[in-house]
Amino acid sequence: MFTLLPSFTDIMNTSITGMQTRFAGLDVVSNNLANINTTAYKSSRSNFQEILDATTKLEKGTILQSTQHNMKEGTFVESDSPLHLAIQGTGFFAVTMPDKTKAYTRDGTFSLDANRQIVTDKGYPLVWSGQIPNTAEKVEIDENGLVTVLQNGTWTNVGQIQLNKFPNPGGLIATGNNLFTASAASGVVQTANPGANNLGWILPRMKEVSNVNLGLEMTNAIITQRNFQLQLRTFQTTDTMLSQAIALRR
Amino acid sequence: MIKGMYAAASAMIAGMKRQSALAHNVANLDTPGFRQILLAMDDWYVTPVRQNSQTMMPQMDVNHMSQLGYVGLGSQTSPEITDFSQGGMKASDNELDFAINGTGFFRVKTSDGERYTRDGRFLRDANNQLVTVNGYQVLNTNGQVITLPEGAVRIDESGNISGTNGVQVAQIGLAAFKDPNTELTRDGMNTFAAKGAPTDNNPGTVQQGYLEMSNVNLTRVVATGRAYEAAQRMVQMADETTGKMLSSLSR
Repeated sequence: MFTLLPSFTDIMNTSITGMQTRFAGLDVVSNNLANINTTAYKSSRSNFQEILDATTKLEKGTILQSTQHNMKEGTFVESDSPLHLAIQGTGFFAVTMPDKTKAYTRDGTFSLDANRQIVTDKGYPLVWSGQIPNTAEKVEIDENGLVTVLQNGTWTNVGQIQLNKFPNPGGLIATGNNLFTASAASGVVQTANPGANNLGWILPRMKEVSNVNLGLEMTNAIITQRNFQLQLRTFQTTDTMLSQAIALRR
Repeated sequence: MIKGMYAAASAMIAGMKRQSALAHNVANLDTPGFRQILLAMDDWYVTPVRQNSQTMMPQMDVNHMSQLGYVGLGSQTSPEITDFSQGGMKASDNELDFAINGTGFFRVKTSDGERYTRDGRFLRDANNQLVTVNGYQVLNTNGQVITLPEGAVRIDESGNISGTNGVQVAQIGLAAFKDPNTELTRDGMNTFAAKGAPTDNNPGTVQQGYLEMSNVNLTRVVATGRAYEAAQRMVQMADETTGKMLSSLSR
């Protein structure tokens, strides 16, 4: 049977794809490990995929096909602030970015800024229907997203926080600072009150813990590093073969 | 003597082909569902070795020669075969990760037609369809694309998909082949193309929340390099011997 013969460069490139993907894989693992204490952080994994030459079907090694977010819900811990909100379910809070576009987050550690806006720890205002009055002494938010304030001894309802969800939350683009933006892969956002459409409920005075699994990530770090060494070893073997071919004529 | 040189050179060429497959296997060590390439070395053509029976009368006539036996002309790699043995199972956090316990393949729809894969890293796309990491749609038992219900999904061992209300919406299609090495060809992106329809009715079961790891075996990483080195030395020795013959003949 006739088979195409790969060149030494082809074989070396195959090992180089192996090394490059492991470099990227280590970045993903490091980022997960760095965010083990980040509120509502979603871990990522590297999806390596086999590649062949499109026409010759010669072996070409591997590529990093995608990094995939694990959207699994983290556990919850209690918090003192009435503005610390967690979401039990698949929803996201919407926040307004400085360029007026919307971003989405599950990190609900909000606070009030000088303008009495509900903002994230980076100062991005939460999207909701209402305003905290200047005279408000206390703010409480319930599991349905209703915002009530205490003024002169009476509680009044001042607005509603809605939640957002996507057909494929794994397709959201992480833009840093625990924020995501919608993409073609995530699908169109659906916005509704908590409790509707499997969106989930708001848990007031709660924080969602990062879903990074320390044991798993440490294992991944070791495996990825070892795999890198193996790619390098294979590369070196090919290199030795190449030198031997060159040394045929002494 | 020259035969020996070509024999050793053929071993070097076969060694390169082998190293290429090996590098590819190693690069895909942690690609879920990847099936390793095996390359066996075959004896190549053989040729008879003869001795002239009438030593005093050097005639180059085959009839006056006695046959001593055969000498091999080297080695070649036999056609690539794929090792379709089962890889290890790894538990995963993702409800849309699947592994097949058995010999079957997931059926996926690519722009080039239906393909088969053991790689069960699936996702929900923007239209709620079940797709692979490459965006290929996963097919049900009737060869149709699968649309998932909203919310959490549960898939039983037969591949039946049901939503949170327990209503079955589809069944993941599996295909199996009696002799995958003759019926399937490697087509990239962890898929295989089939020459005909599936020939086996027993594809196995589906495990939700698991990924099947690659079945790459690392024990031969060193051996290929050494075999290549040995072949290279043989070429050099054949060359040296030829050189000596030439220099003594010229005296």
